[in-house]
Amino acid sequence: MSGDPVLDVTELSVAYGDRTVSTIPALTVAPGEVVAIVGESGSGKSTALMAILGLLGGTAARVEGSVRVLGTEVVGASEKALRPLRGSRMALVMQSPQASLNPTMRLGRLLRRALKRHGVPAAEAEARIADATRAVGLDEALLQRFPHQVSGGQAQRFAIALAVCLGAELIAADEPTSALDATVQLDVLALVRRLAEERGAAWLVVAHDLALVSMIADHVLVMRDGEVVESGPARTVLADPRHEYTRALLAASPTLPTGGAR
Amino acid sequence: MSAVLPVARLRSLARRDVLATIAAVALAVIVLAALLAPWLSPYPADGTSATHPADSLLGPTGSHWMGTDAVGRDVLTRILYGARTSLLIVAAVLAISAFAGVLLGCIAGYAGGWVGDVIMRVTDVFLAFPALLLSLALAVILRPGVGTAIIAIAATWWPWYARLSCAAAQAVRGRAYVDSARCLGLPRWRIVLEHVLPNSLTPVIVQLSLDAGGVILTAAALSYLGLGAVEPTSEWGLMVQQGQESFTTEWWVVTFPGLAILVTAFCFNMLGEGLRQALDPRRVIR
Repeated sequence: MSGDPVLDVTELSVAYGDRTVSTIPALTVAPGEVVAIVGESGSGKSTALMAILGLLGGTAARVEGSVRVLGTEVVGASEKALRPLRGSRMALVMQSPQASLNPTMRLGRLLRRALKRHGVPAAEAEARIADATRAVGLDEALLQRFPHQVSGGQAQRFAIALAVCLGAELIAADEPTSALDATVQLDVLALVRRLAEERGAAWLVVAHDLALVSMIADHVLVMRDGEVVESGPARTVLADPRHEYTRALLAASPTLPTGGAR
Repeated sequence: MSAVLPVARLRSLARRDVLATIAAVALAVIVLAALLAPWLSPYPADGTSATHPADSLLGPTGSHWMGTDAVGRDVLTRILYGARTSLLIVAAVLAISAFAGVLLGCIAGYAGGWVGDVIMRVTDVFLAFPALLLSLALAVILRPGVGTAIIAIAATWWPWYARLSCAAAQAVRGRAYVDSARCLGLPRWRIVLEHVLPNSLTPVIVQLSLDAGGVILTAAALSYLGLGAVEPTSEWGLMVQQGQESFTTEWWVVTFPGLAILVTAFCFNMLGEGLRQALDPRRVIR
């Protein structure tokens, strides 16, 4: 993968009081690349993601280091300064797709509102919606429904369509498949891979299932107790894990890689 | 808006909660009667300014089902017109209180920090006064009338909605879809109006119904004390006050408007209680 990195993280650390809960020495994600951060619960992977998206402002967390998204520094930036980045440049796909959608708003309305907020003219918005729903394999008729009227897989496809629609260049996903059925998990991951290749967005995926996410990731970071214990190309990490923790994670993985998704 | 008002749940509950259903039907009849008062009343002119001193204090008969009052006006007519006054006051008070309270409460709950503190401390100051006393003081300062009654009651009513919505908004603030809206780059006021507020409404809807009865009673109390609606407006509290001197001999002048207050307030409470149970997610409905 070439081009300037969309995301460039150096010496990022997040601390609560004097306890450091997450550190990432270095991480870059280029356009069209999928990078996965893998670890078990409490490894600090989701905290790192929140810090990268600038969502820890106003909380007790202390964030240090540097996170540059498309050249803009996120660490220490105000909510107002981050707003132009959000949605149209960096988007978040959450773990529980239905909980991440406003239950009182029809999907289509949410989509149109978001596009309008980002200054997309109505005619272009409709074209973008048609394009994004087709790209994620979502029936456009579903946009008439409320979040509780669609399945988890459909809701997650919608959440991804939302990010695609807004033209986000960095799409972060926090455990995007762990709330879904096994077969739907593979579909959604394959979709992430395909979108990265076809549309050139940079994807940062946080997951606990190393074997599963390695099927679509270019690069993998393995985290444990707030530290990166192993980092490298997905194929290398999968084939020849250096750290014993990585080997344990692979052994614990309920899904065996079949190599089919790529 | 199935997430705010689960229609299917309500329908299945209507079958089980007979009392609330009866109350809802009775309220529909009362609202309809109020709207159609000019056509339903036997003597429409009596609802406003007409007087017939010759027919003073006639008992219930075929031509005056609920008798006449001290100046000869048909009591049934004035009760029907009084329903208009009472329902107008209820609607206005609840609309003002809910609008102001929910908006302020949601802002306080979502923003938190000093903004939330300032809003909620002002709310507490209003709550510190006994409601009827504050209403009375306001009604004395302003000129008595329906408008005064509305302002006086609304001034003591909105803080409860602010409290309720603040708590609801604080609960909603931590939900994933609010973070998600933040990640879409939406400005704060849009997040409050479109994502926090609609999802904080369920407790407010229940409270509105429970409060309607209270507003009717307070409005009646104000006009009974001569601080609410004034002659020749038809108002139930005012009718009770006017008839009390002759209560022992001409019972109908007091009894029928009193019953109207009782039944309407009771129906609102029953409906509110039914809604509270219907919207309680912990209650299992088959």
